[in-house]
Amino acid sequence: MSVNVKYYAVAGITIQVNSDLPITENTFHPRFKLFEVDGPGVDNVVIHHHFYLPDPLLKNHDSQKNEIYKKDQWQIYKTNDAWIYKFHPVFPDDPDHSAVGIFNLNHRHVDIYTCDIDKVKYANHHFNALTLFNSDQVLFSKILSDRNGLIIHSNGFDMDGNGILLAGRSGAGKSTLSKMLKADNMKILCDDRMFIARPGTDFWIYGNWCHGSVPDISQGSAPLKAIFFLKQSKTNQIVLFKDVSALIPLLMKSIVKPFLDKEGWDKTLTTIKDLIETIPCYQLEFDLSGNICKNIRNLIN
Amino acid sequence: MNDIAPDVIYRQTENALIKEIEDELIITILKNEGFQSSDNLIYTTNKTGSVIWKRIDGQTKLKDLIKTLSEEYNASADIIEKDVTAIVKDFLQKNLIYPI
Repeated sequence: MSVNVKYYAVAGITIQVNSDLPITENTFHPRFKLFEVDGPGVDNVVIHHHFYLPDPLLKNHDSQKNEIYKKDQWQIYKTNDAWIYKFHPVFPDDPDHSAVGIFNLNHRHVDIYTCDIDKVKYANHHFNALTLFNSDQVLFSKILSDRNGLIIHSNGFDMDGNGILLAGRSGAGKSTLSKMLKADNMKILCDDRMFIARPGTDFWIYGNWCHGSVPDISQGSAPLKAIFFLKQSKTNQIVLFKDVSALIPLLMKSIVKPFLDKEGWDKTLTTIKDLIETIPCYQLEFDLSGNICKNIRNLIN
Repeated sequence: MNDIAPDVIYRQTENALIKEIEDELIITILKNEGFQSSDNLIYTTNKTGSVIWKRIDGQTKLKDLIKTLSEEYNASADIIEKDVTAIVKDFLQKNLIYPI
């Protein structure tokens, strides 16, 4: 069955996708089904897919647009009333089409333009992002920032209703420990980029569709109770960061750096400050015995 | 003072966004009118760096800053000078401050 509008919800935000072409069950990757909802929610973002080049629109913006970023797949401009994201595939993993997105300032309304996708491709392609870019990160970086949130490179778990994040540089053991925690019946929310937001007094973590190597993701969420920075070791040990001087660089390296104006960056840094002051962060060393799972459970419970 | 002259006045870059967390600073440099940052544009300072950053005001000569800190912290000028010099060098290298 095809329709021209679909709704997806994550982190309390509903994304309404409108399209000039019919959206089928196979337009987006099957994992999006986890996030599909029946209609708009309280907090809504609208993405509209158009299948032509937006030259007239861009020309209207030309006189006032400033290029703010140009690297790899991206050219990004800002005008007085919009952000313009031009995506062109560069890397082997990129989608095989170009697209232009015109986002209003708060990113609540997004128009995506492409002439590289026809009706047949659109119906069957299993796109990985609702923006049709290589990911929806440019969208969520901004809208989470406006909601006391951010994106963090980490694996997220729901442990009996308590949320934990596993962070650390590549090779630190996130995937290894995630497998252990899954074997210990902890529910994985996402294994690459976790969404954090603060809808009330508590920080929450949210599963989302930006997954990494572990294909099983969840649309679930949980109140954030701890962040663990992993370190390879031959012992099992969990030590609280008491000194922020060691913690701040680790946390800053883990944050997905958004494209934001000064006000947006100020909000993001305030969120980071609040996170550090609210959520206990630990250095976690673990061996391959799996015994660390018990240590984590004891700590959180 | 090695290559850092005592009579020089330094000012902070105008592109820095500062957030203080428990006496430490996150200094984020915002390029392109503030729309872009990245790992190599985000710095953190320890408490000593934080104190020195706040004193770099575009008006005070380095030698006067050292003298003031020496008096405030009741420490020898030589020790303070060593710390200040290292941190000022670091700030200069990262383009966080400029000589006037």
